[in-house]
This record gives sequence, C-alpha cells and structure tokens, in this order.
Amino acid sequence: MSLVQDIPIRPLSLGTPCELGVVREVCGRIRQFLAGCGMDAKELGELELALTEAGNNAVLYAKPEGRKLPVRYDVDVRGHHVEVRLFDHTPGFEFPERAELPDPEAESGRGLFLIQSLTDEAIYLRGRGENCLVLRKNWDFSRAVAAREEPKGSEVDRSQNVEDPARTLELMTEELASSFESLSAIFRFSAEVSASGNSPEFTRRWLNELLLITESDWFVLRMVDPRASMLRDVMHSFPDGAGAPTPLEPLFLTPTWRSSLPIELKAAIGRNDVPFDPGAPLGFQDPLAACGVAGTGFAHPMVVNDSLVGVLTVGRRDGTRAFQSGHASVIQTFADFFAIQTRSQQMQEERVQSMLTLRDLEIAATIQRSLLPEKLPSAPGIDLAGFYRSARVIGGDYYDVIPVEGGALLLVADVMGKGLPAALFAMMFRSLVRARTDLASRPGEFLAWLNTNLFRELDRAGMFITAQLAFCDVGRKEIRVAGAGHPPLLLAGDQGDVRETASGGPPIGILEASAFPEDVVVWKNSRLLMFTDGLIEARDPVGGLLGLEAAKGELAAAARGGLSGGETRDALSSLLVRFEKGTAPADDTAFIVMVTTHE
Amino acid sequence: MSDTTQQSSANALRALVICPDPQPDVPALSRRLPLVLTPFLGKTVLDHALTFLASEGVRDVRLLCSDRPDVIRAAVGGGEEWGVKVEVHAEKRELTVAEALAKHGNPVDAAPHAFVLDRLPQMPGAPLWDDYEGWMRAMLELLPVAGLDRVGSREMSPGVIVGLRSRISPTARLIGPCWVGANAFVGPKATLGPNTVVGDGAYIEGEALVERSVVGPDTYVGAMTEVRNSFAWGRQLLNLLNGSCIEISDRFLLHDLKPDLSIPGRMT
Amino acid sequence: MKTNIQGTTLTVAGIAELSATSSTTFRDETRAALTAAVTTLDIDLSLTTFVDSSGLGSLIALHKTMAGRGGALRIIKPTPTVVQILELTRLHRILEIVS
Repeated sequence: MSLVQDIPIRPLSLGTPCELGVVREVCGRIRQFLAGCGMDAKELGELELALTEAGNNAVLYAKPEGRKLPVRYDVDVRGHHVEVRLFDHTPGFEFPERAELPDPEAESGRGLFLIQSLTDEAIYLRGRGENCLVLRKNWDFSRAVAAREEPKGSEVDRSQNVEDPARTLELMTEELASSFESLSAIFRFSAEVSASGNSPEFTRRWLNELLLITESDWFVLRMVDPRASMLRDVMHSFPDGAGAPTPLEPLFLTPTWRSSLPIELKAAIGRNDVPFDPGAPLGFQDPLAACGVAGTGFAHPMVVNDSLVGVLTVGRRDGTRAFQSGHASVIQTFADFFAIQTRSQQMQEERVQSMLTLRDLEIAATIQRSLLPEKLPSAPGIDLAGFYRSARVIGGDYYDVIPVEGGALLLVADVMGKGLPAALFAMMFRSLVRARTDLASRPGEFLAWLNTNLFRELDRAGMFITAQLAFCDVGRKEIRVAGAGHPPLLLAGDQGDVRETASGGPPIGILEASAFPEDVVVWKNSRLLMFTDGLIEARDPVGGLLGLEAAKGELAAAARGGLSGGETRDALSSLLVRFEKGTAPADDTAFIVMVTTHE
Repeated sequence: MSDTTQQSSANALRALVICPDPQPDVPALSRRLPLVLTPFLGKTVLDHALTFLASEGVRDVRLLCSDRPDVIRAAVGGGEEWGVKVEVHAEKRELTVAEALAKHGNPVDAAPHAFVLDRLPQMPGAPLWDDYEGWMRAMLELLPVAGLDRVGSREMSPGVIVGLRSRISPTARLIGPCWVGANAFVGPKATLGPNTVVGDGAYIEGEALVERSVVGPDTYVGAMTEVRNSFAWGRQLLNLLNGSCIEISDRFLLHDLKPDLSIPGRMT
Repeated sequence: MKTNIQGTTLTVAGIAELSATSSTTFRDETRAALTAAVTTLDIDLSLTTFVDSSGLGSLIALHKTMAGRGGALRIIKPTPTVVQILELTRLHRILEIVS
C-alpha cells in the first residue's frame, strides 16, 4: 500500500576513489544497472568501453590534489537515451569536435576516438578544479520501462495471489486487521500535520507512537541535506542503555566506494527497502551495529518525485521477531506520508521553483565558478577588488577584469534566467568577450558586437543579458563606460559626491540592431562601483529592499574615508550582511570596486 | 551476363566478394562511405550485387573488406534482407581473387565464385570505378534492368521512373532517361534529365535544372540552381567530366538534409 | 593467461580482458615467453570480452616486437566485440586477424 508511486528507472550516482583498479568495476556496475533497464548487449558493450576510457583518463591524468577526490559517475536513464556524467579532477583535456585516429603503429592515443565513436553525443565541460564529461547513448527505454511496471512475482505474497485465491483472502484479512489501527493512525497523522506542520516535536511524537503501533524498539530518521550529498541524523530513539552517539555520524551519499555499505546508504542508493536480521546481520562497519540494538528491522528510503528525501530505519531488539507485512506497511506508509509532507513544505519555501535537477545545478555551479577571474590584475594607479556571492539557485552573474593594451576592461554581467542555460550563456558571453579584447577600448561598439553575435541564440532561448563595460584608459586618464540594460555604474569623488552614469542601450538579446552610447568620465581621485542588481535588491527579513541610495551612501562614506578598493568592498559586503540579517539571498550578487589614485 | 550465371550456378552457392579499397581515379566516391556503399539507383552498389547473387541462388556470401569493414557490416547486417548469409571479413588490404580463394576457399568443396566488386555481376561489361563517367554510365545502363525493381516505382512517361511517395510538381519537366527515388520532391518548373538519377528523399526546388547528373539521397538542390554533368551529394558537388570536387557552403544552392552517415537505400 | 609453444608458434590464450590494469602485464609476460625460435605469435582472443585503448596499445607493441624480429603476430578468433573495436580503430589493416 505504498502511496508514493514507484518511479520506474532511478538515476544512479557512484563515487569512486581515484584509482585505476576500480574503473572496470564501476563501469561493470553501470553496465549491470543499464542491462536491468533493458539495454542491449551491443550498446552496453559500447558504452562500457567509452566509459572505461573516460574513467581511465580521469584517474591517469588527475592533478595531485585531485587524486584525493572521488571520481563521480552519474547515470540518468531518460526516455530515449541514457546520459552518463563523469566528473574528473584533471587539468582538463583538449576535446576536439572529431578526434582523429593516431598513426596505426602508435601504441596510445585512441581513447577520445573511441569515446566519440561509441557514443551518440560526447560533450566535455571544463571547469576550474572539476570537469564534466557528458556521454549520451541513444536507446529506447520506454518499452523496457513499460515491462518493468508490470508487477513481478518477486514478493512471495503476490506470487501466491495468482496461485491460491483462498490463501490470498486469508492474507488480506490478516493484513487488514493489523492495518486497521495503523490506518486510523495515519489518518490522524495526516489531519494533524496539516494543522501543525512538521515541527521536530511533532515528528518525534509521531515516531514514538509509530514504535508503539508497530511493536518496535528504535528508529533512526535521516534526512538528505539540501545539496543531496549526505544523510544527516535528524532524530533517533534508542532504548535505554544503548551506546549510540548523538547525533550519528552523517553518511555521505556519493564519495565512498565500499563493498559493504551501511544499510541506510544501501536503501538510499538502491531506493529499496533493505532488511536485516540475525541471518543477514549488519556489517560491522555499519554505524547502526555500533548502537548495539540491531536485532531485526529494515531501512526504508523516502522518495518523492524521484528524489530522495531521507531514510527511516526501524528495528526490534529481538532478532527472532521479524516484521510482518502489516507492521512493515504501516512504517512504509508513515514514512512516505512524512516524505511527501516534508517535500511539499520545502517546495513552498522555495522562492523559485526550479525545473532543474540538483545535478544540473551542480554543473551550472561548476561552470559559474570557472568564469570568475582567479586574481584581479593590478596596475599602477588602479586598485581593484571584486565580490561574488551565489544564490541558492544558480543564475548567470559574473564579473571580469581583462588587462589590455593601454588599460583594463572592467565588466559586470547578469544573464536573465536561472540554472544551466543561464550559466552556459554566461560562459558563451565570457568567451566572446575574451575573443575580441581588441574592442575593449570602445565599450559601446563592443556591446553592439556582442549583441549581434548573441542575438539569435538569446532570442531563441527567450533570454537576455544585461551588462556594464568600463574601459580604464591609463594614457588619457579617463574611463569610458557603456551599459546594456544594466543598473548604472556609480562613481564617487573624494569629497563623497556620487554620480550615476547613464545606463545606455537595451539589454543584449532584445533588439537585433542596438546602439550603446558611451559615457566618458574623468579619472581623478575617484571610486567606481559596478554591480549586478543582486546588490541593490538584497532583502531584509521583512522584505524591504536595500536600494540604490544605500549603496550610494556606503560608497560616499568610503570615498570620504579614503578607503582602499579592498576596504570599500568589505564595507559594501558588511552592509549587505547587516541589512539582510541572515535572509537567504534570492539572486546572485556580483560587484567590482575600482579606486583610482594620482601617482 | 550468361557467363556469370553459369559460373555461379556451377559453384556450390558460395561467393567471395572483394570490396575494393578507395580507387585513385574516383577518390571522391569513397569520401563519405566505402566505395561499395556509394549510392546507386536508390540503393548501394553492394545492395545491387547481393540482390543479383541471391537471385542466382547464392546462399552464402563472404565480403572481404579492408576499407571501413565496420560500416559495411552495419549496412548489410547478416544478410537477412536478401535471404543470404552474409559475413563481413576484415582484411589488411584489398585482396586479389587468387589470394581470396587461397585464404577463404575450402579445399574440400568446389571453389566458390570469387570476384572484385569493381563491376556489378549483372553487368560485367560496365566498370564502376575507372572514372566518374563510367560510374554514371553503369548506373544509366542498369536503369532499364533494375529501375522498376522497387515497390511503388512507376513509369510516369517513357523512360521516366518515379519512386514511392515522391511528389512531382505538375509543372516540372522530366525527360527520360530519368530516375527519381522514393520520398523525393521536385518543385514547379524544375527540369530533370535526360540521363539523370535523383536519390531517395532528395529535394529539388522550383526552376532548378538537373541534367546528365546524379543527385544523392537527402540532398537539397536550391531554386534555379543548375546541376550539369555532376554528382551532387550533401554539400559536395563533383564534376563528372573533370573530377573536380568542391564543397558548397551556400545552403540555398546545395545542402545536406541528413548530415549523418546513413546508408543509401535504407528506410530509417 | 596461458602460454604454449609449439614449434615456432607461441600461443597466448585464456585472456579475459585487456584493460588499463591488465594490458601491461599481458604485454610483458608475453614478451618474456618469447623464445628465440618463435616466429609466429598467436594471440587467442576467443574468450576476451573487453579490450580498451591500452589493450589495443599492448597488441600493437607486440606486433612491433614480432615485426622487429622478422616474425608475425596473429589475432585468433576474436569475439565480435573485439572485432568491432579492431575495425573501428582500423587496426585490422595492420594486425592479421584469423577467424
């Protein structure tokens, strides 16, 4: 009587140590997993080889510090293809569009060719620190899924359904009787939860009641953390005298590769109930074994809409008293109810309902991190500092400072939209900028060129980019500014007078032919602030906006106080912190401060 | 033709077919696919050969290939389509008939029928790969023999054969000999022929002119484009008289409708 | 992996797979088993279900070893999977394959 509909094919995520010896093993596991999804031997063999090549590369070329990090394989079965994402910590490979075969007598150099030839799509995303190889192989999984949805005779009770109607009736009666109490308990639970919400006290009370109803002795409730990387012990109850630490150590969902996983992890990864009893006891490394109460019981994964919410493990000390299906189903039903409740609560809290999966977000975050300059360049007469803060939902903000002949180009941009597409556009934007630094000294023209080159893609995706470019001309001692639908650039003189530049043309990607007027400001003892709207749209706990005036005020104060670039940045970021009082930011925030001085 | 027939019926139903390596005089034909998979009247050269061998009672064919055997294997599978057992064997280089017989002939049985696929067994007088014109001539020679073989092909007017589900504008002019494959489109006031072969799924825009030429499968020929004495396949335009080959980058002139390496004559 | 010398032929058989972890050992053990009399090296791949690019590398290395001493390497009865990889990487043009 599971209330959560079974999702036919679930994603698989495997973290392995960075060692050559485990590559074949993990690729074999992925093969097995996909075989279970109905893929043919030929396709399986091809994908397995492509993966092995990729996995070997990830190990062989890992950076020294990367060797300590796990190599992760994410496998996603979709309707008509399977996608495997492999995350490596190498310096990154050159990934040609079409790899060529080496000289026939060469003993190496065929890996990339094999990867490309044996998959239908291979994309390599290079990031700083972590790279991601995305491999796709076409296969129609929908038929296999349909076949899997039909009930299998794996459970004894069910197979008997077909064979012996009388026995079935008996079993059903028994189950119904033992479920009556539980059903009413569940109804009470659901009524109460909608009135009071999932407070911890409420959860504890109900879990304790669950122990009574199901004649169990203990439970451990673990929930997935927001980044889906680990299971945290949020609540447990052990009988007196059990030596359980409080709380139990968190269990990491990916980076361990052990043959004997703790049963809670097994349940979480396999998305199946994992039982234990004296016949199949807990592994000695299992944290539950250390609690000294394990007799019999099972770990139940809580899954909603294909994503894991947590794991509930319930047990009896007396190993001879196995759980009957009635009690087991009460526990399962309670857990599933609880999971739906928790998840829907989380959904309401989320300000933006992202369509993206968590892993897509991770890729986006990786890309985004790689966009930011590692270190800002320094030049005589210029003092620079940058600030970047990512919101929980990845967007496409970034800043850049590019030293060019005669000065430096400062750039702040914000791709409107969220998630992977926004991050990809930010990456595209950055590459285009880096490709034409010869235009840096004419920011208006530069923006027009960027608009021409990005218009079609942005228009098709229904997205746009706002940006502010400022060229600091060291020779002429002036700053030339052009904007594309971006908040104004602020410039403060040393007397604390603050002016805004005109914000120029429309955002990039709105009009095919756009002009971007330039604004020229004189380079004096001045302090320049370029930012994305995350700064002035920061919110306090009651929803008030920080606003442009507050930013201006802080900048003016910094100017009067003669603060350096770094100090001005710190002043602005502490303004943010003071204002938000812990409110989670809704949007990315990026800004650059530049202080120019007379020699 | 009678020679071949006697030979193969006399010999125990087996054939060794040597698939040639790229040929120096027709380099452009093997650029996309191995030579034997070149488009040929809506099928491939190999397909025509296997069809003929099957009709002659051959039940077991071994293809000896050194150029991209994997692609050839993917194209013929196990030979189910022809009712013939087909095996693809990779060779280090193109074998001679004698070498093939020595390596693959079974000393106990009668020697199998062995030949190089440099001409179709049904047309031993028409060499395929001596030059581009020869390839084109062989195709036109096969037209009256195999032009109406395929299901749904019809003779619209004398010498003009059009395949299944092709749409021909009433104002288009088709002059025989002219062969158009299946699922093709010929726009208003286009002129095709004489001596023209248009592959499956090709799209000839209005007022285009194609004369003494081959248009490959899934190839787009733009409005008012003129193709003469040429082989247009995808974006590649080959002059059949002088062998010059250029890649067209203007999509409104010539364009590939299916840029992957699909095998001609396969309904996908 | 089993090696067996008959006359001038060294046969290496019983290879489950040639991968990054096993191919170096395979290459070195095969080289060690080559006696002066051997002119033909037969690598039996009839039980081999997996060969990756390092496995291919070891086959080429042995091919070169044999060519250097005036002998030859032959691949015996490769499984369809292995044939596919050999052909895909065009190695059928330098390695003799006996099916």
